[in-house]
Amino acid sequence: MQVKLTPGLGGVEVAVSGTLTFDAHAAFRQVVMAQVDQPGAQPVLLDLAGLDYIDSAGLGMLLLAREAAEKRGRGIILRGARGQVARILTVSKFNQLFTIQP
Amino acid sequence: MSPGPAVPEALRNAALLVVDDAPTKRALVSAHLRRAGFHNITLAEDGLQALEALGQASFDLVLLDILMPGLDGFETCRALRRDPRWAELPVLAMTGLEESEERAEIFAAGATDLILKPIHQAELIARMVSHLHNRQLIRGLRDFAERTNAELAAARQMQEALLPGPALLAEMEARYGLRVASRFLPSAELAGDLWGLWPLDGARFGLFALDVVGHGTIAAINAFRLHTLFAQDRSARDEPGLFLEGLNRRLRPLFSTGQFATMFYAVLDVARDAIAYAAAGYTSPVLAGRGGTRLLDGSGLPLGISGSARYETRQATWRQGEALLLYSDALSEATTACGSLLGEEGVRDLCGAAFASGNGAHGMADALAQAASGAHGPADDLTLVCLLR
Repeated sequence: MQVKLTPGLGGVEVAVSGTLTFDAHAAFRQVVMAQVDQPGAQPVLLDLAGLDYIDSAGLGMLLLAREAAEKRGRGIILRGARGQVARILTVSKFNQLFTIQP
Repeated sequence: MSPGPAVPEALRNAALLVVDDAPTKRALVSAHLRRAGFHNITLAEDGLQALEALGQASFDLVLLDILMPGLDGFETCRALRRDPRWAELPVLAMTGLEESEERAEIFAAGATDLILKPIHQAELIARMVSHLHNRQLIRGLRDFAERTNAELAAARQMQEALLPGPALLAEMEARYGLRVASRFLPSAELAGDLWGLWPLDGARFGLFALDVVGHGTIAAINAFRLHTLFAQDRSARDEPGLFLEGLNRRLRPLFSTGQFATMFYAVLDVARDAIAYAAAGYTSPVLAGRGGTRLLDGSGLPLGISGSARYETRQATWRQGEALLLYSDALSEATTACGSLLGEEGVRDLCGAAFASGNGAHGMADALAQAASGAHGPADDLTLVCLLR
């Protein structure tokens, strides 16, 4: 997994690419969770366009990020998922938990 | 004489064997050892006596002279290494041989380390402590690994006992006119997968498959928890949507954030050719028959994430002669020969081909299991269930 942070108007946009599986747990916690767990009025934008594969452990990390954001009163937007990632988000009905954008 | 280096308390009981043909050398080495705190010392005068002593008691380390009449140090070392009981016993060769080739030969014969004569007490004790300490660590790790493996094997048996046994399957096959074949292949010792079935009435039975996030011990414990929840509440077994809702509500407080389970539950009615089912993000089951294949809808929020999640009951037909296949995502996410993911469409094609081959439920399960093992073996727990009417 690679993570790229882009500062924007409403806060930081986090681009996650590569594969999001159990092996990425430490890196995800260190970088993504640290960004999510910040005060702010804007939702956190996770750009998944560069993500090729996610497994159930990866979905679990998204849920952890969602919980951290909610504690700060923020939502999470998942943007640009494609291929297997888009399919698993649909099958798991994650649109009930996250704002999902094309 | 100086007091010399002290031996850590934990190593003082080490059983030592000192092998030397010269009585004065034996006495000297033995005095060095006692002064450092060792007290469990056995003396041998030559190789044969040493091997005899090794056969009679258990030792932690051997101090072995090389040049001895009869069976010399080289031969003694080779002889004891041939015996698997002493394959890892530390053997410290005491030698005055200073040519590097001869020293190499001592190692080739199986010595762990060597100490040059004349013996320097501090060096002797330091080397011994180092080897005894390693031996203790390795033993500790091995004991731990053995205990863990034994416990995992027992846990694995407990997990297999949760799966439908031959008696239940035979009863279900006879009662509902089915052939049932299944495969259950954990990727680690324990799996986060589970499947099962239960009779409801003369024409209907329930069938479930589930996959807890991750694999290994924690996933398996969560799978056991789910199994316990089914057993406690049998009330909504004939209403798939309500069944998943009830299960989800009870599961939510047990799971921490990030943990969840995907699940499929169906009520199959062989009198009405009907399937009523609900899903929580499980893979999409396949129906395969002479007319082709159809995918059921496995979508739904996984269990354990949101206590208020709703699960609708969906309908499908299941005709005589058709096969219903459930599979964990280890199959749909298996890598094909060309490097891409198999995917649900790939599984569907595979099921169609396996059905057409006419090898029955077991033939289909075999074909799918083979596809799931792919190029690299299953990376995740694999469950396959094939029900053929």
